[in-house]
Amino acid sequence: MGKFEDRLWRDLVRKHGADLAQREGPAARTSRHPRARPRLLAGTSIGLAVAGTVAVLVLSAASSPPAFAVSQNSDGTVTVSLQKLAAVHQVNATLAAMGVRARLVVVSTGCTVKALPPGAVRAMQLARTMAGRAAPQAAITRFDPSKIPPGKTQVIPAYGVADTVHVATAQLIQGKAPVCISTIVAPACQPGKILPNARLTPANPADFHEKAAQQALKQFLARHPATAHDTGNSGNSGNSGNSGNSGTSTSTAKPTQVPAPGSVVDCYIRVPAGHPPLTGNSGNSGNSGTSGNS
Amino acid sequence: MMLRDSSRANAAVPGGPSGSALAEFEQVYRANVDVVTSYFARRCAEPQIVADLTSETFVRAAGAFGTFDPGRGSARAWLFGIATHVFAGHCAQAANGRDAVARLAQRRPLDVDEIEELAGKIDDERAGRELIGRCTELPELERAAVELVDLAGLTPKEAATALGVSRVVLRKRLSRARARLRKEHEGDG
Repeated sequence: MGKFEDRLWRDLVRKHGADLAQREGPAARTSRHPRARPRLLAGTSIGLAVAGTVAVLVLSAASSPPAFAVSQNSDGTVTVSLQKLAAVHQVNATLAAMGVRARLVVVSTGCTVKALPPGAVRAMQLARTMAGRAAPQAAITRFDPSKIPPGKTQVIPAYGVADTVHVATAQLIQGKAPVCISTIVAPACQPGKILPNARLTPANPADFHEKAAQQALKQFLARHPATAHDTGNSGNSGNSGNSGNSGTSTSTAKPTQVPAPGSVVDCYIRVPAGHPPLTGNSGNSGNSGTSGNS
Repeated sequence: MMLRDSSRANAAVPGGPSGSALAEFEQVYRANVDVVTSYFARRCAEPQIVADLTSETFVRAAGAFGTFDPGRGSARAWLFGIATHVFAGHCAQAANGRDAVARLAQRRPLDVDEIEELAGKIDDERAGRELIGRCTELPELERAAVELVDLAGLTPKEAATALGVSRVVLRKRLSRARARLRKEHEGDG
């Protein structure tokens, strides 16, 4: 090789060498896992090959349970079945090959691209509380590609809970699907601060019962009657429950009357023992997990 | 004009001593860097641009090496698929002037030896550039087929993979392009 080619190789090693050295090469991988032939789904354990299914694509290895299935039904709808979150990319490749503008997008807490609306987050929390129960064999969703408007993409959030895969309600978004979706992380409630346009969630996210949450709020208000007045708020407070609006500043809000329980809060009520009198709000709170729907 | 031998050993990627992606990528790089550089040298007469486009092709290839599937085609076909995209992107940017500043800021300046080396390669490919110049009247796919098969030395199967068309389509287009070029040459004579 010439000098240019040697120098380019050194640059490549400097930039990608560490990453490549840790991975298995394509040839070695292929020799260990020969490519599986696509097979039809009829008669497999997922049982999607019901009457009316006109075409089925399964790209999982034949020797293991299918990680996913994508099928087009006779009425034009498409059914996606997902057993392993890792198969999301294969599902999306299949949908792209079929010309369907729908994509599965993995929900991850570190993602800042797009936030799920609070309703979907609550569904996830509920799924977590139910994770110990009988888990479904696969997360299945069905949609009609003809109802996806031009220029839009149907995004189907997919997430894992205790080794099971779930899909949330699909959303139509403008343009291409994001690479990931984040949950909206509910902030801690600030003493003396009422968040507008929000809903109550319990102190313990795992305890997803409205009554318990109402009770928690009542106890909080009974212990801290000054909550009725929003005085001396020196920090920014985020609105975590307003359909993706994040970080809405309410620091200039007028003193707020205590609203009826249930109209307040999509945040966790955490009041440490021996909390000082509620004369002001000096901390920052807000949506720390996402930047909201975009 | 340097017509290349299609029989060179590039159809399969050897596993390398450790089977790591780095070992395999190094073999892919060493087996193909010359033909990829020549591919750009036939299209550009400026050493720095040839260097930039070659670098970009291999940087992209290194980043995407995990997605390369030897079962679907040779490493050379895969690399030329990337190279054609890189060149198309370069043309688009050159056409509208976008990213010129960013490209200038990112480029690694060549030293004198490298410039001489690449200038020599560009000179070697003069005849190839002339042939490409004669192909300007051909449809894009025919032009690309001639270049990849007759100049870069890819097999028709590899060229079909690189261009994302079937082998049958590639062979038809190649045959048609060669016939047109032959006819033009006879007309010139």
